[in-house]
Amino acid sequence: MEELVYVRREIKGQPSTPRVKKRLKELLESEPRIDVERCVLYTEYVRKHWNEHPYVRQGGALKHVLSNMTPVIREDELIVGSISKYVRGAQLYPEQETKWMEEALKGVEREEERYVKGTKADLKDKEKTLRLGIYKLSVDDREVLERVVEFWKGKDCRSQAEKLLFQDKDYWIFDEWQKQLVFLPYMFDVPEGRVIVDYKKVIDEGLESIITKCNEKIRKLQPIDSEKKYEKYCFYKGVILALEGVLAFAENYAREAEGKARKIKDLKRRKELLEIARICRRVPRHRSESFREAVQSFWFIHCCLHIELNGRGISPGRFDQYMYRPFKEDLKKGRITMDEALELLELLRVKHSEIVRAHAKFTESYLGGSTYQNLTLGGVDEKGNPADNELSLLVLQAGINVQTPQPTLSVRWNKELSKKFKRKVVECIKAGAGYPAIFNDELGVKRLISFCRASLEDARDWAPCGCVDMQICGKRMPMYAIPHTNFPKILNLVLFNGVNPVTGKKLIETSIKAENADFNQIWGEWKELLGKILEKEVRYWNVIMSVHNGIGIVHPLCSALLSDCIEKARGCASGGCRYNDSAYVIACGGINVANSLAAIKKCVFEEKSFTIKELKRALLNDFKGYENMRKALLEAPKYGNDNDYVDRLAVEIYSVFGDIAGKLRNWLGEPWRASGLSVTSQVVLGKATMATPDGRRSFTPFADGSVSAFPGTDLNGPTALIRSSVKVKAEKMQSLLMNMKINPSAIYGDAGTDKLVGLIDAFIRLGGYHIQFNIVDSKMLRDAQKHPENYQDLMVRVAGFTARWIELGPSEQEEIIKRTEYMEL
Amino acid sequence: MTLVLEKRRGVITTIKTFATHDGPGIRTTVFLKGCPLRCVWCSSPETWVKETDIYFRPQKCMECGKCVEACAEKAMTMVKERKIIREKCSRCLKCVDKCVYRALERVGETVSAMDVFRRIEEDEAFYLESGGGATLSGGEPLYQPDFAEAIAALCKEKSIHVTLDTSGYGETGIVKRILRNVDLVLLDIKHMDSSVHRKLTGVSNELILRNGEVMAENCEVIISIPLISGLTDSQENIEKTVRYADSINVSHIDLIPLHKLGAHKYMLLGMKSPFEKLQPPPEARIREIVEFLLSLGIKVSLNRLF
Ligand code: SF4
Ligand code: SF4
Repeated sequence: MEELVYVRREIKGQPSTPRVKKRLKELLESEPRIDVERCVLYTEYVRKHWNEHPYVRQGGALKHVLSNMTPVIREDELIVGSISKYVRGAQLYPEQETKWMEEALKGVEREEERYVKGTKADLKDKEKTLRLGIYKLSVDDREVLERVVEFWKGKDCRSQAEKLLFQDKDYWIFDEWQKQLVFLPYMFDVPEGRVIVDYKKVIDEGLESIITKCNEKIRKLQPIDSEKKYEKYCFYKGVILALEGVLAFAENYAREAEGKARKIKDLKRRKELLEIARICRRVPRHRSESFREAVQSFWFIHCCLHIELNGRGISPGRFDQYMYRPFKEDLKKGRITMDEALELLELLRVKHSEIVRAHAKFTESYLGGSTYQNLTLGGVDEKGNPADNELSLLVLQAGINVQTPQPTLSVRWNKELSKKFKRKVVECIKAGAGYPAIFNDELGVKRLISFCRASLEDARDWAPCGCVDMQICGKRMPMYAIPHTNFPKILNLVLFNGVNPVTGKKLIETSIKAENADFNQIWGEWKELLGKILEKEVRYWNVIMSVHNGIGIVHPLCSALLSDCIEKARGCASGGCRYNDSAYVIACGGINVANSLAAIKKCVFEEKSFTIKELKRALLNDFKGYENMRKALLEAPKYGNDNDYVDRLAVEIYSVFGDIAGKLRNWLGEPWRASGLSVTSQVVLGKATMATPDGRRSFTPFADGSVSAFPGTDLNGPTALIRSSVKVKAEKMQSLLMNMKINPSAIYGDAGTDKLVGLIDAFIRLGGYHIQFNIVDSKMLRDAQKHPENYQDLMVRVAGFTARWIELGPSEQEEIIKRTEYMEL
Repeated sequence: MTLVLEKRRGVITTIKTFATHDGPGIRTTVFLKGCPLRCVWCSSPETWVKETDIYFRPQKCMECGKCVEACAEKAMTMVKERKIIREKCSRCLKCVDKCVYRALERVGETVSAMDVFRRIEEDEAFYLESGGGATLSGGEPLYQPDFAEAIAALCKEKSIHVTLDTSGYGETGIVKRILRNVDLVLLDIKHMDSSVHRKLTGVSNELILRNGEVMAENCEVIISIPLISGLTDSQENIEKTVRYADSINVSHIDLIPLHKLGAHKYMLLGMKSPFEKLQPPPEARIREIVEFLLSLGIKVSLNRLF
């Protein structure tokens, strides 16, 4: 037996104090579960206050929830505040959608669920434990939840929206598209999130200043003698109530800390608890005067946003910027040591990872358990100077020491960042946690200026949000996404004249007959169908958002922290924000379409090796009996090798996609945007799609990301892949995403660190938008498959997020292993 | 008569981009095919001869028999054992074309210096940002001197850094000619004792040592020592190598402990892998050597990562 000789991950970090270690252990050992506290409190309030203006009701409900949630201070914690009494508890949001809960309680399978086999959401639960989505639910909570669901039935946003949608005679065919995964079904269960609020305002000014401002606004409104004024009045009232809720939440923690302090014998801990109580009374009410206060203030806001919004992707944004003032002051006055600051940052990582979200099983199957809390470092300040600082380095160190999945780290990379910072970024990448992801700083600024028409100063304050999408901190509408559109399936619809070959059902009219068409007609028809499908996707989503806003789901807390909602007295999804073009459609499998089109062009039309008719037969048979044909298709040019023959097609696919989206208007009259993130949609959508002309087999995953190569087809190494990818113009897109796996042996030691710095510098110089690295080798991953128990802490980065390896389904694990290894032999 | 640089042709096995172990920065390494040495620990047997080779992957073979039909030389056989009778094979590659299961693969292609240069040039941005460039490796680049010279010269014209990774075995005149366009030489000194050297590599080392001198006079040289337990790692050999390095003013020594990652290549070529009998020195010994070198004030690196 040959011994496994894998290269060990080089930089090993570990929690810097026993306290962090203890907290991390508790986190890793606790299983996520459903918590009904929020939905019960929320419903309780709404039941009683049914006659209030929706804005007031919304603020009041949040206040009621935040004031009455059970405060829990865990052993040895310094930063307090949890979204649930469980270590990893997921709250529920019945006002958005109860259908999935109802289905889960009754054990109804969604039609699209047959495509989730082998993913994380496919539970082979032997114990037959009670679950909602994929998380455990206690028997007592089940009864409580059933009553909540009963109340909301027909009143939640989904039911109200569907009442409208079902009136549209075209909707039924659209619904078929959803079920047959022409695109992933609307995420009613997690419609929003992906926002970066103005944490700086909270830390520098405190919530009280916002409450004062709202009261002033109300005073100025007097007399309230028009409906319009009344609505504004209600908006401010709602905001005030919500902020008071946050303060009550903090006060409850102060009391809890004092209560614990009274009971505890350990003097040291008693002092700590009293300090916690003191801090919770000061922030987030007031300006933070120390780093510790700032961390607590930040956390309360971040936590309460997660209680208000049912989102994934609520992102800290530029943490090393807004936290720097108190950090620097503390350092200067000698009030904190680097070690103390590091411990706080490590504890904060654990806190971020406590947050879990519960959704329908199907949604779960492609969101993959990540909460997408994206923390950004580096970039430039408002004057354009490089913005990395000592705190940025410390955040990276915390990321090395405590490799929890959240928050995921991102770096706005530009040439001028300090060498020290760049090296630290690479060291963190090399530590193998899958972060930070690298983003092209200049490109982000430029795009936000030209596309969002942002001011230079606002654009310079951008950060990737959620997975990889560009967001402006504290000023742009939370991002609303229509989940991934299945690009390869659209190609199959073209080839099979509108019929989905998987189900045999006709889904769309086509204007050509593929058998008789030439290449340009096929290519043109693909664009045509894409346009038609996207048009419907956004049309119906605009309906849903109108209902969403109309029934008063305004998110007063979130709105209070986004400019210019307070000035405009409008909610953050109703046009209150300064920039509102943040609704987007998402591509999946674009690279497979580029490869497929190239293969068709080459084999069918240039070399005339076979006809479209024969090709279709091969696809239907998953190439069984057509091995020769598959060989020819596989040998046609493939994206990722800097070959213009196919790369040009990829460029055009995304360009067309961006253009179509840009011409459509969202519910606020702003352009829709196109995005190229993939989470793990390439697995689920692949499972629903027949073989494709690029040689990909039926029901197997597509290429991940938007500009990653299809596994095994980029034969010329990472630099060629980069050269291919940078041809795709990121400007038209909200995001592009590229994953690259690098073996640790290629970048070993300090010399290796500098080489990876060089690779990233070159990537940015060439105009790439996003790149992230997986520093693991396949032997190690194989071993991890066999002995998951030894790999509890192993992190993998799949298309825009980090997850624990052991949490991934077998087919995703398989895919990660297959991704081209740039291992140096 | 030599051809104009661009048009000179040669045989290569592969071009490796994002090479991080073949010199400073990020590099593109060109593997030239053909080598006069036969080191017993060689990890790239596919580069031994200049002619095209064929890899055969039995685990991918579906025994369809297409290759047997295609072969006019009766070099393809499935009787008893699926294999290529390499002595009979004329390297016509008909079998490779016929295999739809990708069980057969061609190794080695004839290309022009310009073709190679274009591939190198593509990654200029990466060299600029990392201080990298091109590396000529093999096989033995000196085995195809005109071709190697042409690639190096084309790079130099564009100010791309050139590293020559060589065993040092070639005519001194040729070496001098190529060095004009080389910035750094990675010189393998396999063994200092000539008779041992012959046993281990098939050739004696006098020429190599003489060429080393010439190289060091003309450009930066780093000496690499392959470390194979019991064969090259004796204290005596290390010391002698150090003395030699010192005599030609080389102050950077790189150590390459044996790896067996090339084992599968032997299998693919239908050859027996030599690695069963070979071992790298134990880690303790490697550390000892590193410390010894460091104590002499020599710059040391491992596996050519610097
Ligand atoms: S053609 Fe390929 S698959 Fe068929 S017998 Fe020969 S090697 Fe095997
Ligand atoms: S290369 Fe030609 S001669 Fe050699 S085995 Fe293949 S078909 Fe036969």
